[in-house]
Amino acid sequence: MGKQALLMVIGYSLIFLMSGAMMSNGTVDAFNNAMNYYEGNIVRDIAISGANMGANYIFVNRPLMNSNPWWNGWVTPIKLNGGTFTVTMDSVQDNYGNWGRIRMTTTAHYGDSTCVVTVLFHPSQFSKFCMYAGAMTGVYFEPSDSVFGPCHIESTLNYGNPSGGTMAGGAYFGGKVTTKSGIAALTNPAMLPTFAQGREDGVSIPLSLNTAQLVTEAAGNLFSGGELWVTLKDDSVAWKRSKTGAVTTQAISQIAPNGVLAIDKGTLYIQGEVSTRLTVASLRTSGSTGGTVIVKDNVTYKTDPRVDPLCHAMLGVVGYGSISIDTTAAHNNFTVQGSMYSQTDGIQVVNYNTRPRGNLYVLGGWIGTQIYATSNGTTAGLPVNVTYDERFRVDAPPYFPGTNGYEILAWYE
Amino acid sequence: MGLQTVIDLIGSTVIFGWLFLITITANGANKEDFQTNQGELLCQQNLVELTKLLEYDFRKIGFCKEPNRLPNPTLAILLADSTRIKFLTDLDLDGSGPDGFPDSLYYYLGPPGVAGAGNNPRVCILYRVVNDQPAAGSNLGVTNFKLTYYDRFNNVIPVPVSQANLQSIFSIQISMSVENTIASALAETSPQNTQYQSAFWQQRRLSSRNYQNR
Repeated sequence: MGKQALLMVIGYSLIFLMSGAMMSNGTVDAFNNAMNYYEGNIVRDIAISGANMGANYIFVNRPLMNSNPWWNGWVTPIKLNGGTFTVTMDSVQDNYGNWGRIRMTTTAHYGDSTCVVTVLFHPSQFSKFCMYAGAMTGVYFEPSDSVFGPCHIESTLNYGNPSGGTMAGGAYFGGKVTTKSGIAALTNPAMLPTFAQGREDGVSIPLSLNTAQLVTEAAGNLFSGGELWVTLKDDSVAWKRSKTGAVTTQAISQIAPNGVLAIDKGTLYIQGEVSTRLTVASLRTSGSTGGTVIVKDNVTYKTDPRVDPLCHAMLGVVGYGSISIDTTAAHNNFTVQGSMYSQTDGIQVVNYNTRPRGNLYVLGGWIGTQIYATSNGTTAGLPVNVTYDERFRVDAPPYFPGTNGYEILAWYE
Repeated sequence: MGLQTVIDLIGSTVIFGWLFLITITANGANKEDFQTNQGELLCQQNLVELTKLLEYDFRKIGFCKEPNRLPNPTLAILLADSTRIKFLTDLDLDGSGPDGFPDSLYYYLGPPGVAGAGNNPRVCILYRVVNDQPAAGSNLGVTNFKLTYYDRFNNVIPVPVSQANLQSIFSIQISMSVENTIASALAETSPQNTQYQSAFWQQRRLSSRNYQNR
């Protein structure tokens, strides 16, 4: 073979090598592009997994609740799926300067990629429920009932159909429903309710009234025994110790600097209009009497939070015993704006089967151990219309009873 | 010049011509392959960038750094259709992180064959509109962008999703196809046989954690 032929072979080889390299580069770039996407997915999955594990730890161990110790997270990198993650914890304040929220930051590394997931938790409170019942003894949700907010039944959710009633569809639950013991039909026939946001059984969230905390927050202004008649007046309250007693008017910031106005072992009468954040409570620290609340007349916010975004008023009505909607000669319809909580009983309508027919409009929550009938279904009483106050998903009246758990407020990834 | 020399000249000319033709053919094939590969690479890169953006935004549906300003994340989806969606989220508008105020984000697919979109008649612009700012969209070769909505029970929600059903949306399936905006090598030699590299991506069930948590 001559020299020229050799040069030609070498030349052609170089040409093909160069073109092969160019083709290869394109392929490698495509592969790198795919790997880059893959790596991003992996590191994000590691971060989310770490955040889920951290959240599980918080849900199970509940740091700083019930004297549980604080948790520092996992600051030493934990290996997972070829990468690592760390979890750090910060205690942060809520909008009112109260500590209790937790910010958990999960940082994951995989190859050259980093991903951060930040989760904000806050102590869960019962006001997050539109409707809560410890038990449904002998009562059931009928087809005309609807609940447009989170609902929990700490027993079996009963449903059914009243004799002669129509059954175009079952009761409607617009929010997520949780039950401890599932659902049951109390009548035959009965229509299955609609659970638009799903239903989860086997969830137990027992009522838990932290009386000591409310006593502490009421501080030196805690009333004891007898009666306490409270009329809310914007950012003030007019109170008296008996129906005919002398009236004292004080700013809420003065009589309830921590946002809690309470009476122990007595009866609380409440009515009026409020423009600030307040929890009124009737407690029972000991003994067998007191702890009841009687709603004498409408209890409302000064402006409707559904139409006024600047409305910061938030009311909690807490009773150790029952909360009763009283009769009044002035009107048949009642409005209660706030979340009502009864630790051992429920919300009742006085003379529900004989009083003139009207309506009970509630904007907030209906929380109690028991659910009672509020009308006789035809001619007397107050059929209830409970509208959920959406603000209660992330906020609550001051020191409203908590569920002894955390919940996620925001998840950023 | 003897006969042998003439035969050598003819032989070498034939061999040279043969090699020359091989070179020309190889060069043409190589060029076409290279353009095809580059087209595919470009296509995939466009798809990955779009995918990252979509995943970044969609995973934040219902997120707000200050939760009190968006208490119910299940109300965050304002409009849902097969090729468009509008939702609330808290965007990092200035690079300093979310500011705690909900922003609206609107994705929609423009019509095909828009001016400046190359010679691919199927290419559309995927627009991204933040709050009330002008629509922004770059030509990355999107030819298909389809959204399918599912409720908690994995049932498909008919589109356009009615106002009453928006709150039922639990997860979203995103399907997207991307093609090159300009045809690759074959178009030069055979305009009727234009070839656009394409890539397809589908997120089977994308669900923002924020509208699951309450």
